[in-house]
Amino acid sequence: MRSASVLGAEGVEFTNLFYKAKEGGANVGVVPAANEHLHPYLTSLGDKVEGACPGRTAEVISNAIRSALGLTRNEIGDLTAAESTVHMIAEQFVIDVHGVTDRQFAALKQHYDEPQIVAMLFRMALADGLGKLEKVG
Amino acid sequence: MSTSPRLAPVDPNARSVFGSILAHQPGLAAAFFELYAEFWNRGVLDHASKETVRMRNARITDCGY
Repeated sequence: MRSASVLGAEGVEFTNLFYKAKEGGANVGVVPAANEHLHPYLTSLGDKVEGACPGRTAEVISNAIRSALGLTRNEIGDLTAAESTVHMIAEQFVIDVHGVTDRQFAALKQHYDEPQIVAMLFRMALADGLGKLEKVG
Repeated sequence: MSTSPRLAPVDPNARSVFGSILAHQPGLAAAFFELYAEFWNRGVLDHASKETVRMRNARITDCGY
């Protein structure tokens, strides 16, 4: 058993502590089984965020963050210039969010409007938080 | 600084903070606050423990909230 007390799940075996938050994919992440009541809300939010991200950026963000965390990920092929900017910021989001530069953010604004950027930042926050939860669990 | 978003709020008279930025995506905002309310109102951890973790996390990440 690991970290069970941290998650408030005393007595829960590690192998049962997490389950996939989304069927068949690691894109959204995992939820502690002890907090199963959060699952429908997290899935709803995750689906809405994924749908609001332009083009392939939801997958680009997931890949960048899961790669930075050393987690499994899918291959998605060559990135466009816009997607590369998203990828770079997502990586920095994991390493140290304060390290995202004004220049990087200005580049993001050249390719995407503000609602799209909000959606992508939300995606980064979800992938980062849930990925780290998966990592330490 | 994490408490000074680079994005402009939807309402030009509003301060640029998490809530006013989130207004760019009202559907996401609604889904997020449903999740957030569920997180705070139910679960296996008591409220004080959740708040302690939240405050510690905010300090480490230099979050003004």
